[in-house]
Amino acid sequence: MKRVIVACGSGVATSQMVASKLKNLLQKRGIPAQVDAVDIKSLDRHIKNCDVYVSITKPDKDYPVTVCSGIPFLTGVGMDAELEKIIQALK
Amino acid sequence: MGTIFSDFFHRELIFTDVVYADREDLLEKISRYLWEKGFVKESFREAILERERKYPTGLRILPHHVAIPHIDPEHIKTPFIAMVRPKQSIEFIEMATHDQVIDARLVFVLGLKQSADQVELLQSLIELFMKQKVMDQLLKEHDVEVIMSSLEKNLSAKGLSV
Repeated sequence: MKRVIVACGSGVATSQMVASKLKNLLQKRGIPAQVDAVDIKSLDRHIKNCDVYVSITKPDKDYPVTVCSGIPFLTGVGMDAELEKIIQALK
Repeated sequence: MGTIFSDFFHRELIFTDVVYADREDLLEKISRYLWEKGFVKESFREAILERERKYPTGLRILPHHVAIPHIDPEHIKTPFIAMVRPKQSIEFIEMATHDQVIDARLVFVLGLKQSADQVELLQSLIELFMKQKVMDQLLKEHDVEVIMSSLEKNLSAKGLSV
């Protein structure tokens, strides 16, 4: 199964919120994917086995996977567009 | 076992119309209070200030901007969510940026442990941020009891056990 990771500074609050919201949205659309919230300190380890990285901090380097912003899933602003981007990357 | 509203929200952690000089002043004062009440370790204060500088937590969200400062679970003794309503809005840097400023009208300090139980609660908290009526009320209301019951009602709507 395709895998999405969501990372924030601590891996508890924001990343969990975004991961949970994204999981529901993908489920509603019938897109099978595993969504995990991870700690940014372990990002390099997780990035190797994921398809999409949803970022809640400002990414400071390039990653070999699709990088999307997690903020729209917190604020609702631009959420549909970002969700589409993630779905495309999971296809 | 579901998340229980009263495990996180406490009357003593609802602060309304407090005057703060700025963001750091707000975080310092809240940290000291949380430490005195036994919610956090002494390390919390420095850690949350540092964390906010590095990974800011302002949310540009409608109808009112909010900030959700939070920190690694290692500094938390007892999980909590504190609601802080500064008398005047406080500038926070927007999440995922280094320089975009937002005026936060409400600040929710999240003191969380690593737990799957809290996810529903957090999700309904985000949904609450987008509810105009509830947010307007939280910005005006002076009675802590009314604030607590409004939070409880709106955060429990999705089948959280209360």
